Amino acid sequence: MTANGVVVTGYAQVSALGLTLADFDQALLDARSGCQALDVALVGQDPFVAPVCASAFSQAGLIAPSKVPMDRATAMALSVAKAAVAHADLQLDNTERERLGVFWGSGMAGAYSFDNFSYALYVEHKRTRPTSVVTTMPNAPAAEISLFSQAQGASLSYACACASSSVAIGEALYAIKSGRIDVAIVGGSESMLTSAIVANWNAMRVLAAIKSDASQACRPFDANRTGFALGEGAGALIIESQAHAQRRGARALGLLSGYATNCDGHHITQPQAAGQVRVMRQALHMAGLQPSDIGYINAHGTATSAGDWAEAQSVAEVFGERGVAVSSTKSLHGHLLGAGGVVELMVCLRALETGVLPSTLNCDELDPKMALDVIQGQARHVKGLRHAMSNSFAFGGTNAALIVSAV
Amino acid sequence: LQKEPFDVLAELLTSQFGVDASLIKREAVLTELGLDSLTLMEFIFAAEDAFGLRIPEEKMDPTQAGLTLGAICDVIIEMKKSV
Repeated sequence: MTANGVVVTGYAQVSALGLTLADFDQALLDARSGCQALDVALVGQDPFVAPVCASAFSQAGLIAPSKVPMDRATAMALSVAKAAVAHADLQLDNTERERLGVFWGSGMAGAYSFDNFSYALYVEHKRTRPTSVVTTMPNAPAAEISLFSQAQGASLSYACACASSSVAIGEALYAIKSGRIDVAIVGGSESMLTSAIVANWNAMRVLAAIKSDASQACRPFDANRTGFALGEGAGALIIESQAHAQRRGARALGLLSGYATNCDGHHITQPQAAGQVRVMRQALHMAGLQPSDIGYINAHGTATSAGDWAEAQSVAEVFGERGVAVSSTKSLHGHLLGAGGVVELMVCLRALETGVLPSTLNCDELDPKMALDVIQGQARHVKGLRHAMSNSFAFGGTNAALIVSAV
Repeated sequence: LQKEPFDVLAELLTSQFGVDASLIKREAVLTELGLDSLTLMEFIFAAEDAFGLRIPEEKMDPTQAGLTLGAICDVIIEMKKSV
């Protein structure tokens, strides 16, 4: 471990995979899909059925530090942030608040409430609320986490679609490495399963077709893939300088060893393998690793035709044909958008701890064009996993790769 | 059995604004219960919705200093009688 390393000392998530770490591990081990069919019938729209991965999370009884009504995603964010602080045994009262930061990602923060408020105004003709602006503002999750933790070092929100929380984590890593802060609450949240938002995604023709069973709809890297399932959830990590962790006697759950972000500069939605190749190589360079050092990749793997094909090419180029074990867990928890990067990095962190590399549910027939070692069927059990990578490739062209290493 | 207006307001304060039930009294000043100018307005909106009425400004100025829970409650009781 490098002298100025940044370690992960706690984490938590909520998603369709459950609300506890035990549920999360079990769902990954069993490749249990949280995907269900949602019937959407809106006036003026053709009715359709969409695959969605809803979380059992309930915000009942959870009150924001600001006392402002919380968007569902904000409530999820606050909940996982508190759980991650507890998991890390971070004593906030003993933490120098000016050196504590919050770095949070979200693709469509506030969208759930914004949609509901608009419905109330336009359809139900109810008056709007004095707190509507602060409930729906994109930095509401970071703001509430900052109020809860009294973080004074930074409170930053990142909106880079599917890469949002990966970028939030990576930028916090740099903030710690530069010496600006010692410790950060990082992650992302997303809740967008309203009829209108699902209709917007459906209109884009990126959602998976349901043939018979919704849990079989999302098929990453499969020859018959048709798109993704929309998910909802949140994940939080506590990351801190190794020195800070040592001073407070915290256990390190992994070293955040590599990060890179770049942009394709090419197309609003169409991914490009070249940018992905560069971002993975940049992250390896930062970590001081060779491609052969990586034992597992949690792919972006959205199960769209173009997305998976671009990633298959870029991973094969960096790691060699079938050079590294790869899985996409999006067929289990759905596309978590702003929360995707952090929850998928948690999959990597759990793999370092448990040696379980989750399989890619529904990748029954690997696309024959792809020279990838996709974990299919059962989860793979490995010993001595040292380094794992998580990829996030976003609409807008933002790419991010994160590497976690055993300590 | 219909709840008393005071109990409805008390429940709103505890369930939506996290106010400690032991602090909720008629003479409690709302800003001293942890509500600021924005969340006080939110509370009054929520109270008005709960009773299906709108409190006109001439009956109560929500920005006045020292506004108590009892004062809001009295206005609501008075308005409910006149409905």
